[in-house]
Amino acid sequence: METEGRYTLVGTLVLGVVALMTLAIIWLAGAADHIAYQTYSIYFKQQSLDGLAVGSAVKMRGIKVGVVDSYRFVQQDGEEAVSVTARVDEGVPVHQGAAAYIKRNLVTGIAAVEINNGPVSGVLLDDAPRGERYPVIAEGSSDIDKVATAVSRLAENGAAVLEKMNVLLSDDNQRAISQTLANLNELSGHLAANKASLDAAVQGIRDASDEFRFAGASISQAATRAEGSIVGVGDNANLALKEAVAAIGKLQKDATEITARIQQLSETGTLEITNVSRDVRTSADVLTNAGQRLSNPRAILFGPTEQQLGPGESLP
Amino acid sequence: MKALALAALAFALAGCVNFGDKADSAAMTYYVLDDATPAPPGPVAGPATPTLLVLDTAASGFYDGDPLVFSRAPGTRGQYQFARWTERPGKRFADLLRARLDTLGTWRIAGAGGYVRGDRLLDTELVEFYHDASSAPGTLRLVLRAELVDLGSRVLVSRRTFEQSVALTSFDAAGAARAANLAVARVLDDVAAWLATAQ
Repeated sequence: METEGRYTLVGTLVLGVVALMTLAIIWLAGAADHIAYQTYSIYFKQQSLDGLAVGSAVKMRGIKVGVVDSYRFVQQDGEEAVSVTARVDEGVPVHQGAAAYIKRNLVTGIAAVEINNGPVSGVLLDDAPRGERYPVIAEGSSDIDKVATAVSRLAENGAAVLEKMNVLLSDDNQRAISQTLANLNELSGHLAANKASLDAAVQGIRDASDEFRFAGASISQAATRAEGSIVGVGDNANLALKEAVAAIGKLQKDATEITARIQQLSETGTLEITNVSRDVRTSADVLTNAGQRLSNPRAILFGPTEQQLGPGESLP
Repeated sequence: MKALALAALAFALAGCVNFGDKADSAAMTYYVLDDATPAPPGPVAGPATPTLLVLDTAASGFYDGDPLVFSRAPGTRGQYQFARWTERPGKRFADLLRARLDTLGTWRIAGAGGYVRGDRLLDTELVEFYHDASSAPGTLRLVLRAELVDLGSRVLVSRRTFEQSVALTSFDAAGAARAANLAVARVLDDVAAWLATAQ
């Protein structure tokens, strides 16, 4: 009995050790993490990952929701990218349309991955694309990046403006501007010297304008008078055109009727001519037969011979 | 005396004196070409019924004369000496054709060349019409060629030749006339049937 009781104790201890080892293996294999986290892949191509390390925070709206698990350099679409594997707490809903960017503390330089979640109405990002192990969050851009881009563009534009101003104020242009100013000065001098002539020219233009105005008034009066005549002529022409249209319509109707009658006459005439020609031909044949009979006067005077009789006929 | 002889000669040359009158000369018999089996009246043609113009039937001068024609041997023709048609066969056949088609009601029939405008024109020709007397009592042979023309488009719609040979019941002109009437009736039947299909 004592030996059997020791075996029971040893077996129980062995089973307990096996159970503990199983739990340890599961813990080491990270299965527990699979249960506690959702893993996502993020491919960064545009942004620097300066200050980001394994274990760095993954935030959403400023709240830490996970950590950076690993990263590695990969080739994607012919470009170099850094694939960051992030583990996000299981209860955090990441929707399709989410984008991630690097948010860096300006003082300490420590970086974190910030996720801009997709629209709430979208479905959860659960499915991994073909060839990927985890669902992929797209790369976004941070506000600082946008500001930096705008500042960079502003600096480029400013440099271009300065360059153009430099060209505008070149030595050649400065000499041309100086020459233009000198010419203007000379022109104003001439104008001052010929003021009397200019006054005379202005007076001449004013007189011409007056005459032109008087001529315009005369033309207007003439046009008014001509308008009345033209209206009368137009009315007459309109009346004449209406009569002409009516006459042409009647002519066309008459022509159509005449054409139909001529066609009918032609058809009737053709048939009439056909009948007449047949009658003429028949009459000619009858005359020919009569002529042939007359060529034998004996038969006319004394009647037909035996040979001329038809079947069943006999001479008296 | 000499004056009397001259006067008698003048009267004789003027035809006032008949030397050849024979009291026992054979009498001339005139036969009427007719439709032996006229069709009963059909429906009356309506306004929408097409109009058919029928030309007078053409025939050669030998057949289209008054005498009845016979043939004792192939390639020869003769004329009865004491038998005549009352009317030329061509003209008479056209009249019978118009009458037959008019009773059917499938066409509005009019003679060609009048005031009536037609839709189609029927032109016929008597090619053969004689008593084949090569053997007694012989047959009456009638061959008719007919053409149907569309007057709107001036297109020949159809052409057909009809032939009939009717045996005579007696070997004489009277038998030939009776057989001719029967042959005419049969050819008119054929023409009416052909026009019904060509309409």
